[in-house]
Amino acid sequence: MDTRGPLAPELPQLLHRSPQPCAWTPGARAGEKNVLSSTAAAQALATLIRPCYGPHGRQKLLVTATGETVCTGCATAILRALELEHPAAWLLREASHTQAESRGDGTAFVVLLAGALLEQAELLLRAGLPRAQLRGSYAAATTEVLATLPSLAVRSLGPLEDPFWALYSVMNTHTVTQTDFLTKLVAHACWAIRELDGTFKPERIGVCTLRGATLGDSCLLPGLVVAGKPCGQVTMVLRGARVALFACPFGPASSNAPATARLSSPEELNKFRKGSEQRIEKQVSQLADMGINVVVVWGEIDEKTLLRADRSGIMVIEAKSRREMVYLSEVLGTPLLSYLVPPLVPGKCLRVYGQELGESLAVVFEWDCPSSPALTLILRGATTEGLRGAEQAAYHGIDAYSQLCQDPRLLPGAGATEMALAKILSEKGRKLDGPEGPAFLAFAQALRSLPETLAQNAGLAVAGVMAEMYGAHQAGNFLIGVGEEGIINVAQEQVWDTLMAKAQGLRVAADVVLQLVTVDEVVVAKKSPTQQQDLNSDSKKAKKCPSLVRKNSFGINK
Amino acid sequence: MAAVKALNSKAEVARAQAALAVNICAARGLQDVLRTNLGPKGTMKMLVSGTGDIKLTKDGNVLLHEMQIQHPTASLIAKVATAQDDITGDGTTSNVLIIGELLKQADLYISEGLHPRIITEGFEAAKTKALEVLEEVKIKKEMKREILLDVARTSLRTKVHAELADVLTEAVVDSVLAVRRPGYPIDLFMVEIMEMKHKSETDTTSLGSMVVDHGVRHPDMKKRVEDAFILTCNVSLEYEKTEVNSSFFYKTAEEKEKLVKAERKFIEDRVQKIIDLKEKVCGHSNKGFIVINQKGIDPLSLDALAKHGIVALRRAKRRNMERLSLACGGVAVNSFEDLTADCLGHAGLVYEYTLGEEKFTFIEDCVNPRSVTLLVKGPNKHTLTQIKNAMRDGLGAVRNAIEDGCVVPGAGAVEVAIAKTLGTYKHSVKGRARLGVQAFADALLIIPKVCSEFWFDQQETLLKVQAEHSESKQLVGVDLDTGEPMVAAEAGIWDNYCVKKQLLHSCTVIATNILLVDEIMRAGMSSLKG
Repeated sequence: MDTRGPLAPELPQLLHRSPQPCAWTPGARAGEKNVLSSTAAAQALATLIRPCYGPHGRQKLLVTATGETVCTGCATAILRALELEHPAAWLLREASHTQAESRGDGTAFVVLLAGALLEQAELLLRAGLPRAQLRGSYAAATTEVLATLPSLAVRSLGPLEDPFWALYSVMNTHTVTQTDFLTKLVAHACWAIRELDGTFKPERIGVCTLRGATLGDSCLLPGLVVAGKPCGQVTMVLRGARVALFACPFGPASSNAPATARLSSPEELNKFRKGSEQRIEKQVSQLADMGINVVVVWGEIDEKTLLRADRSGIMVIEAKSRREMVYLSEVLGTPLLSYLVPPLVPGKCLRVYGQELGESLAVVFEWDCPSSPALTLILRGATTEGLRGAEQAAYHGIDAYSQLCQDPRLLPGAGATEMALAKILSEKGRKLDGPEGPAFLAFAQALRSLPETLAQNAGLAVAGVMAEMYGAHQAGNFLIGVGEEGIINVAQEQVWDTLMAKAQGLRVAADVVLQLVTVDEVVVAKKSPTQQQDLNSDSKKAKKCPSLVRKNSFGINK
Repeated sequence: MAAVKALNSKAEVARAQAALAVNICAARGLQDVLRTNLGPKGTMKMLVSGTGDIKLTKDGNVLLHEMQIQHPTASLIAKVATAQDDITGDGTTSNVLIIGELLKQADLYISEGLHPRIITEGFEAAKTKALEVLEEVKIKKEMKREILLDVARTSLRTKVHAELADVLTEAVVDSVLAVRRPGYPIDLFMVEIMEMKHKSETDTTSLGSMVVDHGVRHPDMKKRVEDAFILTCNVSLEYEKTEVNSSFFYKTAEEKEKLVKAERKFIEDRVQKIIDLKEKVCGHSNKGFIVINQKGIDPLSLDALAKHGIVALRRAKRRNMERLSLACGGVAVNSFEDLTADCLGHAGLVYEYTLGEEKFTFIEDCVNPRSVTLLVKGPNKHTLTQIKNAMRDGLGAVRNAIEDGCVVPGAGAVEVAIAKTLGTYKHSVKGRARLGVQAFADALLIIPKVCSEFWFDQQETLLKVQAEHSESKQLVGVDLDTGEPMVAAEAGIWDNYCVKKQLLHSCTVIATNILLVDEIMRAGMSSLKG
């Protein structure tokens, strides 16, 4: 019997399962600890993102793993640069990426809301609510929110309306200067490219950045910019370009199997040379006969063939990627050819010319203004940082417009929607009995944290503004939001959010929270050898305290 | 001193009582890990693998697979439990719990001086009786859709949350019913589980059709074809290198040109055969023609096919090829020598769906699909894996129910019933084995106890259920929403018969094995560390 005592307690060590010995403490205690630790991780992430939320958000200086320095306020970029250790934080990041991929906007919203929801969940769990029940009531609250959301959509973008006012607030969140001008450009581009039946293809608008001048010099080019360079001496075609696209070497065809010329005398060599030159000449003149004067090639370009082409006045462009060729073929309406034969229908456009874009060369295909099938937004700016911000904003604007084409409904922005939802939820929650009541209230509280963040970022006296806003909403005026100088009427200031992005964001945030609250234990396996090398010795330490959100990639603490 | 020590001074040994203590402790440790995950109200565990993949699960099988268990006894139990999953597809968590509880009950008697051998005899007797009870309570029914829905729902609710489970239930049952052929065993491989990282998890559906996870590669090919013939083939339509080392020689540019053309001729002939067939079957009608090739198709062939209005997909997966011919009819062709119209399948609608970078081709409205696709949607990867695992279990449960032709009531009802019968049966057992029967009966009650653990007072709930059972003579389980007893059959909670049967068998065997161990030795050759 005496051996029994010392042997039994050794077991946890024998049972090598995870680096967390606390996993063995049964039941509620281990579980509670875990939700708390994931809350801590989510909180840490939310704290990081919080100052970047909204139009008055601040920027972060990131030093990425490759040593690049980026100054950005975009939550997606910040999250990507972070190296996270805690699995709960991964989940959160993944959720915000999902949002970014599908809607392009609202990543910060997802992180902040999820953080706030988990914070509230922690309080409820501490009060003794079982996890499964908490999950159930949170799910009920989410359904409620998503059901009431469409009823708050007070405006919608008419099919023939200028989208300027709708895009303004979306772009305002992401740019620093000259939002008006930029929004006007984007709105104009979207407006022009939209087809009569209401379909909108966002890929028809290209955005290209060009360093130099100021943002005010940005313009809209009725054409398409393709990475590539004109090879021959003909570098521009200024009138009536007729384009052929080839996805094969521009020159004599060669076989896949190794082929060797077997020549036994100089005459034969001469004959061969002449023969191939003739063939080339024939092919090129065929092209010229069809009136082709621009050739885009994805493949090798033979010197001699190029010379011939120059002589016949054909502009030869070497394209950089097949994807761009396919896109060109779609826009120009001419097939991608795999032999050097003239196409049945050449692609037509007004002008084709090469242009230097920063350090690389590009080729511009231009059409007549009104009937252009593609537009390019050329952004100018003095610094790369500024350009990147402007580009980001332009993409957000285009994304937002393409969503508006699918669903034109708009919600009041500037935190007004969140406040209104919170009010509805807490009214419902007070009437409910059982665990759902507190959960509804907790959800409402989490929603209220968003306008609070907005106020904080705008540098307002948070308590006062929130109180004022709360009062206005309680009085039934659900168009009151947070502005630069205090509360504003959203309808007057024209601050709107798209319904689709907001609904998706709410759903994504709620989903990740619902998953996290049911987790009672985190089991982390040993790092596989490849990763261990990367993280070397400190990975062990990090595993022991998994709530640690590591920010090494910032390079600040090094 | 153990004899082994004399032979190998480094050997680790635990004997007799100590060995038993180690074993029991390990079994209960494992039980403790899994007990929170049992049943529809169980919580989840988050598993992070060495490469950083996250899994959120409460499926016992997944948990036992992913946790690297090193203790010999614990891994023994884990293996038995996963074997249970391999055979029946469910019941892993219950297995671990019951083994742990059997050992705990046995420990009580052993500490009072009872020999383990006698307890194991009792276990054997109890198991035989329990199986008899199981035979009695099982309910033979014709497996209609309603009852299959109940079975699937019961199984799925223990894996994912309720709203999702309800969505999956329909999908799972429908797909099993679609691939069921009277007289043949059900082949679950005919249900393809396809994942799409898209929208939310409740958009998961069952399609009476095929989904191929790539799209056409040529811009001119149509994205949507109605009323289409489908040719499935495994023929290369791209240039292939010769096997012997060969090369061409030429003297003039014309010759070179000819060689280049001749090189392609072989492939062009094949393409031409497809085109000829298309012209023959479609003529001037509006019918579509789709080629799905397991091997590659090069851009030139694609061009030629596109010119004739043929939609071609290349590099399809092998299992898709098999399923394609089942879904749309026709035969998979391996050579174009004798290509006839009989080889063709047919589908009402074929269309491409783009999702970010990925493309999917849906083949729908097939005449007599013998293969279906479960389209799993979810916003992120771990949700997808979770749903996929749950689906597999759900499919297994439905198949089991159909093959057994009977079900047993769930929600702990069977366990309560068996425990009750064993309670009376033990009086007819002579000698000390009676204690083993008693231990077995008590151990089974762990299931209803754990189910209600975090919600209600377990003892009170159990007593209520037992009282209700002996009063009403019905099979009564625990209602996890109220904590009150309920008639499991009326609530539509059904478990698989074969799962329970397997459970009783394997638990008894492994508990017996572990109880009879009197010495644990680790004296084998260790690794280089010494």
